[in-house]
Amino acid sequence: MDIRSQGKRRAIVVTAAVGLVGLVTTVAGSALLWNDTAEAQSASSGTVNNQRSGSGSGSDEGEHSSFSFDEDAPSPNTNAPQLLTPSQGGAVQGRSSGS
Amino acid sequence: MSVVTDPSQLDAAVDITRKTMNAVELACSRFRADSELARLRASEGSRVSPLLAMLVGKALEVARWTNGSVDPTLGNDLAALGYDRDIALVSSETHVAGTTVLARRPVAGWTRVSLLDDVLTVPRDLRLDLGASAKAVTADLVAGMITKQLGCAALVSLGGDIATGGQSPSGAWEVLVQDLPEDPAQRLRLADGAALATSSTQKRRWVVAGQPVHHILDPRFGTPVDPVWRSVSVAATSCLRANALSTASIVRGFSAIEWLSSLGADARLVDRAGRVVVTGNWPVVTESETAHE
Repeated sequence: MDIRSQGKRRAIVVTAAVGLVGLVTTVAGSALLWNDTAEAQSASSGTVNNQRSGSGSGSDEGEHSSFSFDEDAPSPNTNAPQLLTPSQGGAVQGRSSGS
Repeated sequence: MSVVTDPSQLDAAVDITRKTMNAVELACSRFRADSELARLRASEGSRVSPLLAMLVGKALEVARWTNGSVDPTLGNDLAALGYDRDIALVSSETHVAGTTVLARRPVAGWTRVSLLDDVLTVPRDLRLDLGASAKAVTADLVAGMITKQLGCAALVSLGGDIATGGQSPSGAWEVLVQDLPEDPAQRLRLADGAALATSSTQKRRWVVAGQPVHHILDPRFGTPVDPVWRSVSVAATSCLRANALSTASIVRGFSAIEWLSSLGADARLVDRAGRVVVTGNWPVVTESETAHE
């Protein structure tokens, strides 16, 4: 992950193999440009650094007045495998419920 | 719960399940004083075990996938609501609300966490809560370990999150999707290797100052989200992915329908009135399937 700061405009560029590219416009003229690698990333190895530039051990410098998780819609995964099909009866082998 | 296709491997599968669950709990439980996460003082950066590093890394992946809808840094907010021990104990106690100013946060907590290989840095004002992702990671791990080590297919269900591994005899697993007994039920076949997770606002509930609250928080405010959905179920190629999307959908409320559709996700959302909305290739519910089990 390469983090750069350009004055009030901040960009977080997450580089990885494949993924979706989106642009989120946030307050104070800053923007987050990211390449969402989804499952392509393996967090069990390598480096994961989410800190914004200049944040040191995590303190924020106050340029942002709020954050949002709104974003441009990514492209649908049209090659998705068929994960679910209608029941054919028989014994239930698992149950999905909230916890 | 673990289901295996070779009965002779059941005891070994249960052993793998228990040992993995215990290891994950010892690494990241918020409720155990002896867990690695509880003992961690990471504000200056601390070396952590490979298991905890993996769990934190996965939680940060979830935050990225969901653009921060699911944030692993809300531990202090949950504790402030009284959820600082096992939910059975939380639910049985009376909680009084403190003075709270509802303010939109300036920056997402997860973006302030750093994991550089095995060195974890968490700002002092944040506390990690990996509950949303650790259970799903564990289900994925256990299903993979059983398949690889024991050579049989497996369905692993941890608290309602299902992961599968290997090739089942019929090419799919028969599963029931239903949150509470009074909720609409649907039976489905889950493909080999697929996963299924359900997030709910109907469980892990308790009362604070006379008001019911639940455990899924809006990261922008650190407060329980408006329970637009009673539950959201998502099928995906990993339990972690399914859990991430289902939890994020609870947080996103009505906009989750459009979001899940845009992702092409197979999802089933149950609203406050028990009405069902599906997205992606989730099989359309027939009248006979809507009967409560």
